[in-house]
Amino acid sequence: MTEEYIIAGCLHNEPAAQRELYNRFSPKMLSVCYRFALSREDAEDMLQEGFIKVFTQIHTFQNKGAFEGWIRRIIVHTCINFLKKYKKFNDSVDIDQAISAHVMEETIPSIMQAKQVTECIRYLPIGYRTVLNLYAIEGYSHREISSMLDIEESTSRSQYTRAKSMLENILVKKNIVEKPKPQFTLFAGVKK
Amino acid sequence: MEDKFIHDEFEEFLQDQVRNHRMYPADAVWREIDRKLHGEKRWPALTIAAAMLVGATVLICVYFTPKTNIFTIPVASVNTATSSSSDKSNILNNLTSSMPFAEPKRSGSAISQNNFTGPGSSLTTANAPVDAQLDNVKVEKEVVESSSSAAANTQVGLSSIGPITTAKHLNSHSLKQNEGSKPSPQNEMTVEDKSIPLKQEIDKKASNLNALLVDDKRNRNLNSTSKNYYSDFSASSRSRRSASRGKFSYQLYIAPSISYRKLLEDNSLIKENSGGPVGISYVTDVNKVVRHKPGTGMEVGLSFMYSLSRKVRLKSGFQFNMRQYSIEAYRSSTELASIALVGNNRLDTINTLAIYRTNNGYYSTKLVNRYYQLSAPIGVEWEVLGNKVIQLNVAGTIQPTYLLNRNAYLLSTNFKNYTESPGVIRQWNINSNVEAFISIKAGDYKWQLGPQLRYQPYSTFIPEYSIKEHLMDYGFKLGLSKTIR
Repeated sequence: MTEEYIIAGCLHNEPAAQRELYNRFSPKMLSVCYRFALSREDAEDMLQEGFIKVFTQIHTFQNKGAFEGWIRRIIVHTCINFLKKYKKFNDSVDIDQAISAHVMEETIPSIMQAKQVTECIRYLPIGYRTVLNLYAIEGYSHREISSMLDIEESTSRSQYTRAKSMLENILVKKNIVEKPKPQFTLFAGVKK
Repeated sequence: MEDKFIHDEFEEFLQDQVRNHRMYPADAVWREIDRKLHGEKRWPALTIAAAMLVGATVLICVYFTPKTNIFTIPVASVNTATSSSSDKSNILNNLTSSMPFAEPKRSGSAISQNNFTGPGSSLTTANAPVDAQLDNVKVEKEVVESSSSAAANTQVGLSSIGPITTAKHLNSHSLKQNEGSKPSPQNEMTVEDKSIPLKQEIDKKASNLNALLVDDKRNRNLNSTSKNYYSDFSASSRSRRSASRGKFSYQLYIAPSISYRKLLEDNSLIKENSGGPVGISYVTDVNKVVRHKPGTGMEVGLSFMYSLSRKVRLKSGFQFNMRQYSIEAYRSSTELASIALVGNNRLDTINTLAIYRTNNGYYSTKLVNRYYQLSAPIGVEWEVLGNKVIQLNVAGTIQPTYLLNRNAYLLSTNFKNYTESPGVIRQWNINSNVEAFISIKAGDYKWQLGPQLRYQPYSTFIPEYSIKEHLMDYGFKLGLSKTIR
């Protein structure tokens, strides 16, 4: 089933087309949600809300960009709204305290590197993690992030810097990347 | 520059890593999404209706299937017993009659006790009166001869008595009675004095034979009287029972149909409420706004009938109806849709969110209003003409109806949107049905075929809603009925 056919079917509210769309994109989108969420259950709730929006708002998709990108934006916004709605930011470690948060090596499962990296990201405090996810992975600018999270642009920048520093430490501790030499780039020796 | 490089590399690294990451959600996530998009798909009403139909059919089969005539069974058994007893008596008679031949020892001994001393010729002569009497009662000589073929000449006179009784089908009871109460001819003969002349002896035998035949006749009369009594009793009981039980019948039927609807506006409401700020002021006819198409419906039911007379039957039962039609609409963004309700000189407004318009949307779509109903038809059936095999009937019923689902799309007051508002739809309604059909008798069953029209005289919506919807179904009914005997 082609993407156009799926979109046409979803426009006519056909369950088969909707199921096909869900099957095709839900694994990637759940991974996105998982990086934002505090738990897998939260991630699935985000995914559910996100896909309902996708299906009900599919008529607003105007074929001007990638369909996956359009879905991804809806999912990311849903995640942010979910965190705001359920005040998940308040439950997280305070940003200032987060720098000194102790990383327990054994808490990260040593499975595939992709999952390890994801788990490392999730280990960040939720404020850091959100900014890092939005900026480094999803490609939003600090201005957009500040608008989305209702924070200052400078706060977004500083949080990203701290998040990056913290993630570096975690990745080194997990032996996923080598410890950077002072004069060289951090990720010169990334294990792939 | 270096910073940018580092920054880009960090981002690239993270993106490369997470791009390959997949997670698979639980099935419950999709079920919940599907439920929220399409609603519950389970239809307990359908299951309940099907279960009721099956249950009723099983009950009818188990409890109402005519048994093999409870009252006639004993009669039949009595008759059978009588006949069997007569059969038995015949057999016994045959046995008794053939006993002298079957048991030559006994007859032989009896004869030997008689000590007939006369010559064979005198015996043959002496047999003449007996034969004459046998002719009088139309004894079948062949039977006598065939049964006595194995007998000796000296035994003919005596042995012929046995086959005679057999040929006349004497009741074994009477025979036994005769045998028991009074001495049999043979026995009598055995107690006869040897000195009695042969003619006297034969005369006596003949008189005994006459007495036996008289008894036989009496017994036969008694038997026939009792048989007549039993048969009369069984006939009367059967007729009484058939008169009462043949009046009831049941019928299973199915009727595929085409469902239409008729929309009307309540002009009285328009006049009364055209002045207010949110008053109803139609600028066009509702039937010009709405584009709807008929759908296929279905009616399945079970009815019980009671014959008031040979041609008129009362009928009642229950049935499940599915009726639907489609509406052409347009998908739009979510809009506020108002439904005005007018009642008791008061105007209420229900505000709902609508995503479908009657005109001008993102794309056209088809909405389906599908109603599931349970109803209990009550009516009359009249046989217009016909013979025992084929008849033409007409019937009409009134059907109190319960609506099982209320998720139908209805027009907003300004005719711009379609929206759902379950509170505006009546749960209870009344339908009427008229039909004409041909019924054909095939064995114990009767098939019926014919067109029917079902109409809902009251609106689907509550009276306060200004648009009236009347549902109609044109169907073709196929039924199978059976009389409960």
